[in-house]
Amino acid sequence: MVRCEREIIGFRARLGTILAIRYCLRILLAWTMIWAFFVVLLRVSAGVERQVLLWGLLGYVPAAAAGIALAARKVPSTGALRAALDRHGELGGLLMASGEREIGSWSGQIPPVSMPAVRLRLGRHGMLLPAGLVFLAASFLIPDRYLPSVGGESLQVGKPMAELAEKLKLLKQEQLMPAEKAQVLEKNLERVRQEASGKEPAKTMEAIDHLEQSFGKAAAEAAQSAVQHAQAASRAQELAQALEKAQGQMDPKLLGEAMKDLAHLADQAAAESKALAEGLGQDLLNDCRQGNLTAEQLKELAEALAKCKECERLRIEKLVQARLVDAAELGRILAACECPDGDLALLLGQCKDGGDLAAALDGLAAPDGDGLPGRGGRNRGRGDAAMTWSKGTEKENAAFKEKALPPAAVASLKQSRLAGVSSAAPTTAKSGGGSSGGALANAQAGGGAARTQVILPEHEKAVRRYFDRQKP
Amino acid sequence: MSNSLAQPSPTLLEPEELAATVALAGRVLEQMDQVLLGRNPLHRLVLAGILSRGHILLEGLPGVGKTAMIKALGQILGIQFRRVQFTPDLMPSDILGTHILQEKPGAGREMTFQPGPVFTNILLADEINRASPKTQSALLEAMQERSVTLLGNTRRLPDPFFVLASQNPIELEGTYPLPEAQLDRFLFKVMVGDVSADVLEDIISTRRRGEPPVPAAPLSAEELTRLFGAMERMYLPRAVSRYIARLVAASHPRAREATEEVNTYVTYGASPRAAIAMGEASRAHALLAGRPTVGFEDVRAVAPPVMIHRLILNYKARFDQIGEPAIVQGLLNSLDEAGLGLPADVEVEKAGRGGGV
Repeated sequence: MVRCEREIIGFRARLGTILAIRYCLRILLAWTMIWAFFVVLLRVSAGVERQVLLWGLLGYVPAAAAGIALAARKVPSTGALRAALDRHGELGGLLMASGEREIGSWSGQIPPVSMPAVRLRLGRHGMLLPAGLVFLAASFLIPDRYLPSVGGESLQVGKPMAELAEKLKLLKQEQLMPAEKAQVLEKNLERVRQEASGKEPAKTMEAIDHLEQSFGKAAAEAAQSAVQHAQAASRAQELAQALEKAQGQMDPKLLGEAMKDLAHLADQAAAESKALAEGLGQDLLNDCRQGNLTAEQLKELAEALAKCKECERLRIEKLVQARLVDAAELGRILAACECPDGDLALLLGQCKDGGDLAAALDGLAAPDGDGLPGRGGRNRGRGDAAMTWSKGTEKENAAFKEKALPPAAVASLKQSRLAGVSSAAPTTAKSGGGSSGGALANAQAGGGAARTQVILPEHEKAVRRYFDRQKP
Repeated sequence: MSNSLAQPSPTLLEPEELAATVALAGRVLEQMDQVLLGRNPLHRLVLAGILSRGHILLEGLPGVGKTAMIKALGQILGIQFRRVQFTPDLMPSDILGTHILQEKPGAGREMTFQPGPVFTNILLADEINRASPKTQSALLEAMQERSVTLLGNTRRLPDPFFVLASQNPIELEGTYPLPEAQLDRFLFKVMVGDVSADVLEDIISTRRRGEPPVPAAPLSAEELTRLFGAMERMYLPRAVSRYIARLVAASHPRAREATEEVNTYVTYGASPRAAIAMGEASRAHALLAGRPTVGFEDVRAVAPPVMIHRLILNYKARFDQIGEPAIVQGLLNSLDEAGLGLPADVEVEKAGRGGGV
């Protein structure tokens, strides 16, 4: 009859737990040291990135499993456990005998056995584990700049590649690039990352620059397109708002023509922006084309156009934040989103005929920086209009008037020097030029300077002799 | 580990049977304590040796009561006791007996065997180390085989047969140290030490001329047989026998569980006979403790007297003044009785003694 079976099982479990902790601790410590050593080795010799080395974390799983397996093998046999309990309970061999043979009436004389305490002295390994963890952390925290040159084995391009990946992600998210092209660029990005080599950093950097330019080009095109969309939407919004205000004051015929222009502008804006087309709805567009828009519909149309512009502005903002386009693009989109209120409504209300209407709408067709060059309008149109030449200037009776110069002027012309060339008409100095030297230095011609000029003592005799001469 | 040659295991002693046996043993011990004052542990050990049917070597200074104890033991057990004083000129025939030419009426003369003092139940070999090796070796067969062979005739010795030898640790001049083979045949080597002043005072005040009292209630033959019969039913658990085996194996240098002291100071460890002796002595110790089974504490109690005379130490031990008892104690302290085989840094609490594995 086997006694104290429960105590034996409990004792086995307790010992197994302690042994598992012991062996796991040792094996995990060993793995920590090995891992840290290889982290240092690979980082210093091959410049392997930290993220790759983090896979070593997975090594703890088999290490712990090995510790548990080892502990399971080391758990004492049932006989040994029973003997230990017999010794602990000072049973004099009765418990051991009960496991091996029938002990008859003695079985009732075996007292309850208390479970012996099991202790694990961590000792040296208990101190080594924190040290190992510190070593591991230190191996990961070695700054890149302290690592010796890896001799071109690899090139640290993690940061620029991450930035490019973010940009590409944004371009894909905003659908600013065809999916096929985005996929190709993504593959190129990955290839550059893998082939980045310290031996030829210029090649890698060139590839990165090329990719960045590709992204920038796509973003710039998108920004340009967004500005155009915003401008088209602004024109349509301006006209819609003006018609909403001037609807009651206009001649129905002129109103119909203005509605057609509005339909044209709305169609143009919707064609350029898919989001706007969806926002406007087909019914509203059809009503607009038929010139049957009510004041509410005009308001609705204006609001939809404003939303469309807001979307374009937000898109440009994202591109600017991602440094895909220049910050000036934000100014352009804001300018394109501007929608003057009031002037056009006033003009439309004053229209008497089709000519007035055309003149009023001219500004819409030719906003600043857009439309046909030189068409004028409220803002005079674009400035890059081509020069138009009519008849040439006739040369007959077109000659300079002859004028005789005084001899002094002729003489001065002879001593003239080229000071510069100007397309402006020549000018003559009002007063004559001053003397540059001698007794009359700085004296003005005809200004009576001789009388006011200070005469030096050595010249006084000559001057007196001049004025004392006989008159002819 | 069981095999076909294993003896059938007898049933355990019932509590009542055990109580009666322990009472018998207690009676013997009580009378021995009356004869020799202040020697209870020694008496228990000697009685354990007797119950194990082993021979005992008593080592102590003259006058400490070795002979008196053995004589009293013979009287208490109700068996024959003889004493032989070993001297250098003692011959084997003086112990074993000899053939003499004897005239027999009507049959002429013939060689008749005259048994020596060895033909007894308890033979006290006093100062055994004073006899020559030749004479000492004459006891080998008697001690091991419990028989004497002379002129081709083997004669059985009486049953039970015990040799209780004594030797003096001083006055070694003119002595012949017992050979290892002889020593190995002794179950115990027991050191008979001094007694305290209180005991001495009791002896002086209660004994005229030191004469011990005559045992009042010697055992009958039937009681002695019952005592030995109980020994046959003492159960030695497998874990305890494994502990004994490991203990003996660890006494050899370079053994797996040998201690540093064993490796340094021991030339030869204990023999398999020591393991057998330890098993038997542990049974006897458990019986005297009133238990039907042998525990680790029984082994720990009998291990020193079983092992100390079986270890052969080297000269380093003599230089470092390391004795056999210290080495045996080191073994007992280092070995985990249960054989859990745990690493050194995992400790299991032990009741009573504290500490870990």
